[in-house]
Amino acid sequence: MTLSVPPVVTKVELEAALLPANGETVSELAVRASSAGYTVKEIKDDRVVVLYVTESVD
Amino acid sequence: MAAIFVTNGLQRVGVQASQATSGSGPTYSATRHIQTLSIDDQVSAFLVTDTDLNRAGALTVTNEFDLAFDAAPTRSGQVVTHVATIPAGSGNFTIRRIAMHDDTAANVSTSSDTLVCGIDGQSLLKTADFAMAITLTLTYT
Repeated sequence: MTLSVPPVVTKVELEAALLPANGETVSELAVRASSAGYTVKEIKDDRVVVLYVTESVD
Repeated sequence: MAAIFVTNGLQRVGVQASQATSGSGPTYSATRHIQTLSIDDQVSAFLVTDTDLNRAGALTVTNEFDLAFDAAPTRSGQVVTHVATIPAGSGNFTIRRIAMHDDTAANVSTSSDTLVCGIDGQSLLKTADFAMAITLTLTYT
């Protein structure tokens, strides 16, 4: 018997986030990230997201 | 830009799930699970036939960095989440591709036959000013 199934992995999500250093707050990190040229996508409790990608798997 | 599971990667998932043996290519191994994340600066897209990052020498990957996941991946529903944190002092180049591999970081290189899946077509400059956490989730349906 052969089972016909749809693709096993259908979606990949990628997030890249900068992390605070030396006791800085995420708000301070967001300012530093913007100054460094990053586009801030989201400020989370413990990180600043600078890239978010969601892709269907080929 | 595309997310891709290479053929070898699909074979790896299959043999690991079923503990299946094979005379060639991926065969079940207790140590060959998805465990390492890599970043590199190659602008070429992944192909389903790729088994390594440099396409058996056909591509020149100038900068590559790989590391083990921070912790064992987690599953919620049909989503498996993998996290790797790149230290401030490492991986400082324009990240074009992010990939996952089925061997230890010590055994992963631009030419290692370890590629499972990846996302290409990115342009994210990492500098030594920041540590960067990469989170990659796979949805199994």
